[in-house]
Amino acid sequence: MSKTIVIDPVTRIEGHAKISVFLNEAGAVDQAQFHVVEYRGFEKFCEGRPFTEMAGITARICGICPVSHLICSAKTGDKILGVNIPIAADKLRRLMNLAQITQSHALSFFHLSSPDLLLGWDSDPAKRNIFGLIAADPDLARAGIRLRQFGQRIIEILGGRKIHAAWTVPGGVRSPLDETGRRWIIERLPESFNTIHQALDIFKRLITGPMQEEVKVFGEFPSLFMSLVSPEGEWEHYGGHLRFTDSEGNVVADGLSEDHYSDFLGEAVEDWSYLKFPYYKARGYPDGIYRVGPLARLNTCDRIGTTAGDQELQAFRDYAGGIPTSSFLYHYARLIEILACLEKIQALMDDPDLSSTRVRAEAGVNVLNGIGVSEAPRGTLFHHYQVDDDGLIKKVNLIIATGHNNLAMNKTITQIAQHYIHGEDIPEGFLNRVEAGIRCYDPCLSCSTHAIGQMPLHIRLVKPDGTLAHEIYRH
Amino acid sequence: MAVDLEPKRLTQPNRPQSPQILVIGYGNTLRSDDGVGYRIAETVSSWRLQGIEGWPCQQLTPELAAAIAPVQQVIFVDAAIATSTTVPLVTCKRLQPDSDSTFTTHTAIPAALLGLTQWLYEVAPIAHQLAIPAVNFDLGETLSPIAQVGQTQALEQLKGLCQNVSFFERSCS
Repeated sequence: MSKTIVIDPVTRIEGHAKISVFLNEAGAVDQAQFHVVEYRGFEKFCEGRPFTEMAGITARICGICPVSHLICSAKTGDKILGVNIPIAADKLRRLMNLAQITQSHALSFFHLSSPDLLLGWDSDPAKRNIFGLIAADPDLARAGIRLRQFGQRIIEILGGRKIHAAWTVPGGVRSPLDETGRRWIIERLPESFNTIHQALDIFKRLITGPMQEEVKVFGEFPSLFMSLVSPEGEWEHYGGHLRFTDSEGNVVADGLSEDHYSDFLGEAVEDWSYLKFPYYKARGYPDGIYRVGPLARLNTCDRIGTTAGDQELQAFRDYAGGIPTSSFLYHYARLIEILACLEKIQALMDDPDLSSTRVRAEAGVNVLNGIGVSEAPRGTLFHHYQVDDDGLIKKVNLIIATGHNNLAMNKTITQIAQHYIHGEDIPEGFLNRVEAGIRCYDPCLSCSTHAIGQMPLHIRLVKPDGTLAHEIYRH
Repeated sequence: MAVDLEPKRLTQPNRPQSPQILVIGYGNTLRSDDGVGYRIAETVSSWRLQGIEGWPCQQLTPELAAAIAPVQQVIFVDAAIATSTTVPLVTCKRLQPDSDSTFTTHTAIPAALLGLTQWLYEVAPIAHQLAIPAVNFDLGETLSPIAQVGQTQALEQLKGLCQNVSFFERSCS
C-alpha cells in the first residue's frame, strides 16, 4: 500500500514549508516534494511605488538578509538612473555585503545547523537546539553569537541601524565609513578570524569522522552551478558576470549578463508549490537543474583571491577529490566564505576610498527597464523593475536564491528519504535528517508574519484513498 | 556525542551605558498588524527618555541576548492573533527564562531568548510580554483599527512604566 508522509512545517528554516514523502506499493520511497505553502506576493505589492523606495520595501521582506535586497535593489536603481556609481560607493556596498554574508552564514552554522552537527541526529529533540549546543560547548556558542554580532555591527556602522538600513540607494550610498567605525572593525577582526578557524577545524573533523555518511547522502548528485565571478574568474559577491559550471568543473557558460537572464534562465511552475522552479534553459526542465549559494560560488570560481581563502578552497577541493557536489558541503563552503569575507573586509580597512565623501551619483530616470544582480548569502539574487517616465514601478520580478535551489532541494530530500526510509517505520532521526537536508541550503522562504506562537512539526501519514493513517505533532 | 549538561558560565557583557528598561518590539511592517510591535518600539525610541530604550526588529535573534543581559527589565512587544469578536485588550504577562524551547529565528519566542541570556550570561532581567491584538496579516503597511487601539494602549502602559515601574507591574498582574 502506498503512503504519503507529510512533514509540516519544516523547522529551523527561514519561513514556512512542508515536506511530503511518497511511498510506492513496495514501501520504498518513490519521490519527495518540498512544498512552499505561503504565497508572498511582494511583486504585486510594489507596483505603483517609486523605484527609489524599492530598496526600503524589499529589505523588509526579510529580517535576516535585508542587506541583500538593499544592494540588489540599489544596483537595479543604478541601471534606471543610467549611472556609474563612484568607486567609493562600490567599495562601501561591497563592505556591507561582506558583513551581511558573514552574519548570515554565522547564524546558519552556529545556531541553526550546529545543534544537528554537534549533538547528533538521534539526540533528544528537546536538547538538540542552541541550548544543547551551549551545554556542549558554551564558548563556541558564544563565539558564534559574537561573530554574527560582528557582521551586524558593521552593517549598523555603515547604515545607522542593524536592519532595513536605507543607506544603499540608487546611485551609490548615503555616507562613507567613519574613522571610529573603521577602528572598531579592525579591533574585532582577530577574534572573528579565530572563531572561524575553530569552526573550520570542527567541521573538517566531522566530515572525516562521524558525518561521512551525510556527505554521501545529503544531496550528493551532479548538477550545474551558477554564480557571479569577477572578470578574472575570482570569487565574487557583488559585481562581475554570471558563470555556469558543471560537476566536473567545466565552464558551461561564461560572461553572462543579468540583463539577459530570461535568455538563459527558465522558470517552471508546479501545482504543489508556490515557489517556482528555475532551470538553465539550454538543458531544459528539469535537466537544467543548477545550484546557487556558497557551494556554487566556490565551484564556479577559479580562485577566491585571498591568501587563507585560497588555501581553504584548495583543501576543500582536495577533500572532495575534485569539484565538491554534496549539498552537505554547503556548511563547509559557508565557513570558507566567512573566512574569505573577513580577509576582504580586512583588506578594505586599508583602502582610503572608504572615507571618500564622493559616494553618490545623482540623476533622474533615464532607463525604463532595469535588472540588478548580486550574491546574497544563500545565492544569486535578481531584481527586475520596469518603470514609467516618472519612475513609478509598473512591473517587478524578484528571483531569489531559494528559488534557484528549488529543484536541488527536492532532489536532496528524495535522496535522503530513499536512503533512510525502509518500510513504514519513521524514526525521529529520519525526520531530523530530512529537515537538515533542507537546511543545508539555508532556505529563506517567506520571511513574513511572526505573531506570537510556536511553529509545530506536523507529520501526517496519508493512505492512497486520502484517509489518515497516522498523525504526529512535535511542539 | 555526549552532552555536558552542566554548562560552563560566561561573563556578562560589559555595557555601562545600557538602559534600565529595554522595549523590544518585533514583527514585519510589510505585513500590516504584524508590524505593530516594531512600530511601538520605534515610538518608544523616539521618546528619547533616559533609562528606557526602544529596540525595533523584525525577528528575535540570538545576539539580542547580549543586549538583554545588562538591563534591569525587558519588555517584548508583539502582535497576537485576536481571538474574540469583542474589542480585545492588550495583554501583559510575566516571562520566565525557558531553556527547553527550540531557539530559531522565525520561531524564536521571548522566553527562549531569556533562557539563552540566562545560560550565556548567568543573568536574566525581569521580563514581560505585551501582546497587541491583531487581525490582519496580509501585505500592507497600515494597522487595523483593533491594532491601532492596541498600539495606543500599549504606549500608555509603557509611558506608565517610565513614570512608575510598580504601576506597570500591577497592570501586568
